[in-house]
Amino acid sequence: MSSVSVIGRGITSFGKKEASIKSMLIQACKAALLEAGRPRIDAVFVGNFGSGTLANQEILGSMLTNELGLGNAPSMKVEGACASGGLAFRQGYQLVKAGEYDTVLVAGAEKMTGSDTATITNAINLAMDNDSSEGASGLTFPGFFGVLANRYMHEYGAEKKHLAMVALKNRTYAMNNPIAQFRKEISMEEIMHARPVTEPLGLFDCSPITDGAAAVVIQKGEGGVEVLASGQASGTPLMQEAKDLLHIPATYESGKRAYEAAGLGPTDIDVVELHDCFSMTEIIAIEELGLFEKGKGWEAVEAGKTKHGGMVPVNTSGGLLSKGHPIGATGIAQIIQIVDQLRGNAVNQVDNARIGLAQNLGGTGAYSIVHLFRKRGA
Amino acid sequence: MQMTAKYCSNCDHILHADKYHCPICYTDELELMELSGYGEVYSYTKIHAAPKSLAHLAPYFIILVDLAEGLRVTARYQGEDLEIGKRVQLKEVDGRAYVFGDV
Repeated sequence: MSSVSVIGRGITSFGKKEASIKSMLIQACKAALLEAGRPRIDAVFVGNFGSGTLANQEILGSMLTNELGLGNAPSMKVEGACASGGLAFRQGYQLVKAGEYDTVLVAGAEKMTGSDTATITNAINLAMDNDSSEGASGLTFPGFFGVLANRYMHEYGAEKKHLAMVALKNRTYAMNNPIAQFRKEISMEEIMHARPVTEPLGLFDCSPITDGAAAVVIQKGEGGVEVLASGQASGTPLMQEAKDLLHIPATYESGKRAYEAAGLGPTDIDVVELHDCFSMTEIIAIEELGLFEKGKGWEAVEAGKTKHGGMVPVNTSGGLLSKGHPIGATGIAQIIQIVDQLRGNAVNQVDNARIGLAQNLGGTGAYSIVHLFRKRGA
Repeated sequence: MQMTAKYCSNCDHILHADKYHCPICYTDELELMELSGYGEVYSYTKIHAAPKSLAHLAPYFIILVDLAEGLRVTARYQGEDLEIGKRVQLKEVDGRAYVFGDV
């Protein structure tokens, strides 16, 4: 089987931006293409969740291909809620691996701050199954993770402060990341006493509304950070149908599939970017990905095992919580942080990082996707 | 207050009332089943940041209830005092939403 590598990366700053979705996409893609030496691009995939609702714009694939002068290269938009970017990357990776294309451009973007809060809330709620009594009940996205958090604490003895420790760790990492949305220092006190959003989750337990774009160039061969495997899985979009609320099976299955395809396991991973849309989600994900035992993720956080000097640093970019969460761009931005780590030039660089994992979640567990990467020549 | 579920007699499987078919055997011939409307709170949250259509209710509780018949449903709770394991009872159906209160 032939190798596939990431040979270029580009990213905008994350936050509230004046720029349009088109200009952000162009900026990120241009940086990735220039870094890759402007190779001939065989296809373009764009991860995006809600550009129709939030930015009054569709046909992102064609628009971008045209603006970048990529001729008649085939292009498309890929939607999978917050996993849109990861899914787009997987489409490009699989087609290069299969030999259909030599070089593809994968981008992700979201323009969110141009809409009022009600429009944004409604747009995000499109990623739930609204043809159900659950949708009518008034459950929100953060609400799902609030319900999960209360039960998790009840079952395993975790406390609100353990959620806060996740938020604090990710903010501390973001302070060193020039593209992060939130780089101001915060204290445990501030996190613990912040405005409640969906109890027990407060403001700092929730990822923000963000604008941003990210892009990578993938090519056959060993010319960059190698993509070892891609694992994807679906799960129920309904809380009331979860067999066990404390598990997110899509996360578990996507991890298992990627580990098996690469012939690796959780102990082989040196650095992780995972989907911390909420602090609670990070604790569940480190358990589902096999990094820590079920019900013990909070103890790992408390013992500092998920940061530098611990067992495996998680979300060294600042994560969704503090780097920001421009929905469609998130999956690509996570991959960029792992690529940087494996090139040895990342913010919050992990010493001797050889194998990296990126996990991107869509909905409350509707989609999950895991990619594994290896340092060039390692 | 009446609460129903759907029931697939082929598979002996209880389904939420809004299901269109049985995902196991694919039959559309589902029976209507009456539920007692009594259950126990599996978990909950208090939502402060509400969608626009429910902003007038905020903050409000969302509960995940294990019904006596074995089905788990997401619902709203009207009341002040909530804990995991609390016994609750259906009080009303607001549009499509179930609203529970104290027994």
